[in-house]
Amino acid sequence: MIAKYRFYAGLLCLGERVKGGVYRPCAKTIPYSQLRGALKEQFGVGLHAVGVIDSCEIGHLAITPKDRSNDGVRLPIRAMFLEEVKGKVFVADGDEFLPKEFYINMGGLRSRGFGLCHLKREDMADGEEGIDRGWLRTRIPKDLINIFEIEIIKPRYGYLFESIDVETGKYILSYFEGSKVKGPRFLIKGGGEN
Amino acid sequence: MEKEMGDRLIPELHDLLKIVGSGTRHECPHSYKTDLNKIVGTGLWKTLKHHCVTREESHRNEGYNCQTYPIDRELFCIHIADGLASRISRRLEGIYKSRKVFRAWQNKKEEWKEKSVPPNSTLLKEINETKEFTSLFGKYEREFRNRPEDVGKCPFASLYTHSILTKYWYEFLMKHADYFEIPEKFNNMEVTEKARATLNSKPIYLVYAKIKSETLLVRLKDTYLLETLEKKLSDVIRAVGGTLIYDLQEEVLFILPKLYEENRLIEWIKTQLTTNHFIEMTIKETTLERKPKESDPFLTTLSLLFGESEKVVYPKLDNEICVNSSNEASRKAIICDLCQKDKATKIFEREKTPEYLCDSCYRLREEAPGRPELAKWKKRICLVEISLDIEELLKILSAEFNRQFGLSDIEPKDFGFSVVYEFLEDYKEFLNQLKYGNGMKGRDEIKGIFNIWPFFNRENREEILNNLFFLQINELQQIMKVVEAYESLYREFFPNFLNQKRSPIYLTISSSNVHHPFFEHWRLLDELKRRKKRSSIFVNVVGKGKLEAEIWRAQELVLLFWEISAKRNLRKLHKLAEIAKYSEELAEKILIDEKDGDPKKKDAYTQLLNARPWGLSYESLLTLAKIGGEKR
Repeated sequence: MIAKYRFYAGLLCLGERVKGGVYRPCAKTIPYSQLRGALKEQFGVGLHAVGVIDSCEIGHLAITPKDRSNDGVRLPIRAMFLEEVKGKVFVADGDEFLPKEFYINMGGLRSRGFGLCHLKREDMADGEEGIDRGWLRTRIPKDLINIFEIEIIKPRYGYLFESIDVETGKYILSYFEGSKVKGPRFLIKGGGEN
Repeated sequence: MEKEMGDRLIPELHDLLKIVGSGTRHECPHSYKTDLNKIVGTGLWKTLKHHCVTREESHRNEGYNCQTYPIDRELFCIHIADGLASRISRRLEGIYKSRKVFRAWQNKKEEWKEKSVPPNSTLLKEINETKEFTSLFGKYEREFRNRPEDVGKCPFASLYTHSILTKYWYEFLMKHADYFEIPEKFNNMEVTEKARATLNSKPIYLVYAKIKSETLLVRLKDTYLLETLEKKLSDVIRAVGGTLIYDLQEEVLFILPKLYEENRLIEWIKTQLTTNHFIEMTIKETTLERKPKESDPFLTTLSLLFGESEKVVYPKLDNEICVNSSNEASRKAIICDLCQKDKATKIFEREKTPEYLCDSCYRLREEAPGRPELAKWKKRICLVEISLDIEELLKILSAEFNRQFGLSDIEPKDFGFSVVYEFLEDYKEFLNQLKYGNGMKGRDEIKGIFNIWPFFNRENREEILNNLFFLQINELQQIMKVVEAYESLYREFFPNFLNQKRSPIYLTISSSNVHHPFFEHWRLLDELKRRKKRSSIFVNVVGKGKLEAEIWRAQELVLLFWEISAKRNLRKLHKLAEIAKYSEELAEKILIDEKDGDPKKKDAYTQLLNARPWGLSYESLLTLAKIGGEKR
């Protein structure tokens, strides 16, 4: 059973990987890996969850990442972040493990006040669970699409990070936003049944 | 039978006689036998006989001494190739007649006048005297480009395009002659028709493919990847045994015999790709059988290739990418910084900034040519990109066809690939002339950007791609010289787009201090391409602002630019731009009030007000004023 939550974050930095050391773009969707990690950190259970962003503003700031190898700082980079992020989060078996309303911390730059997200349970809107064709609005590991009843028509591949322990992790082959799929309307945009 | 001299057939010259004169004499070279007596029996003569394969008798009835049979495989293949190239090109038949190729982006419909053009005796003499036939195609390229393949029914595809297309089909048939069971010799028409029927029954794949990349371009060197895309696609086509039919920039239409099932074909393509590429494609199985238009399997299938692609083919990707503790790059980053689809194995370090790359991205970095001139630049740089949106082009061309021919239902699939190909040929020439001019002197001279000061000096320009180059500028005003050159050439090449007030071609200029990271410029170009609605001219001056305008108002924009820079009303625009952030209407009202209150400023304010309906925001006007009013 999929539970729907209204999502709000004032400042969010779902940083993608550092590109060439000068710029850090931000994902404009809420990837599976980020949500799962945040929920696990807060509630201690590994839940399958995906999210979509409905509206946000984009901002940039210069940061100097810490270099853990010598306890110094690296060259400054420009990081993209999202402001006034409104969206939805869908959690498999959410009602079983999660309260009706809660906060989680997600993404980077938390020491600067980023990442606090408010989630509030709400009912699915009429027809939101219906199956349709369209473009995927989130990022989800390849092996987990069945949980959300997604069928891939035309993939757009990428990798999502999955932590193994505090020190390391691995990258999992995933379907990214822009994949053409048949799936629940709450996870897709455009298209139409055909 | 005429004595064959064993020369090779020249497929691109099969319709050479069409540029010699009008009428149907071109169909049988025997009609010019006296003028062309020296080439009888050569490869060219055989090529020119492609119509005689099925019309020997009717040619004889017309009084020509047409002797064709027995024929060989080559002549049969050129005969079939010509038919296939015509079928693919002849769309929208019967709506217009013209002796000149109709280019919907340039021409206006003209009244047809009956007239008979006498054969070009000079050309005939040249053909007869020439020893090197292959040079004729290049020498008479202009004539081939201007003459429609079919004057009477379909003047939308040029003889040039048709000739190239015929050559491709010919090569395809010859290469796969065994698959199509084409005999070596044909003694009579009966054998020809039997071979045609066999050929038409064999399944083939029609494939429409676009090559793309999701690799991040971080350094200037990384643009080398874009240069490699086209080659990669042709390597893939060659590897799977395909023959290219249309080359539409990074999109192609290719054909191949159905030697294996579709799944195997896709698996094969996968093995040819690296993590720097993926291919969007539509594969359709069909036959070459000819039927009445609506039920023609080949033409119907061809039309299906327009529109969204059905499949995406990526290289083989691992389900997981884990850290390799024995590799430093892998320990630091696990996954490649650029393509993000393969394990990081190598460290690329410049200016104390390490990047962790996979083998493929590292190889591209190593292979990419350096830009030593650019490294010496000290002033302001200006990145200029001209890009084409094919989907928008198709929509605009449909609208133009409908408008000019008083129709309402023409869609891209109706005018086919040849029209797009004709457009792209003109677009390539446009890009070339934009940079280097048209090479003429006097009144007809068009100066390219690389011909004007200071860019004629090689040290002040760096060409990255056909449609992307860097300029070193001394003053911001030089940006407007680029816009001016672009506008006047655009007007020359694509006047009908200006009339429609729509453009599928976009000019983007991004200027900054030379030390500004390339990645920022690239990100802007990328972001603009993703916009649902974008302006046809976009100028970004880092630290000054952005200017968005439309090409159909660019002539006035250039005039306004000189006016604004002369009037020095920069302070006023600063104020208006700030107000307009909150309310465009209030800014407008202030402008009107001040115009009425100060007669001295009336002219300058009227200019600004007149600019408003062009879609220029106050921010754009302010940027324009800054470009004009300030030196570097």
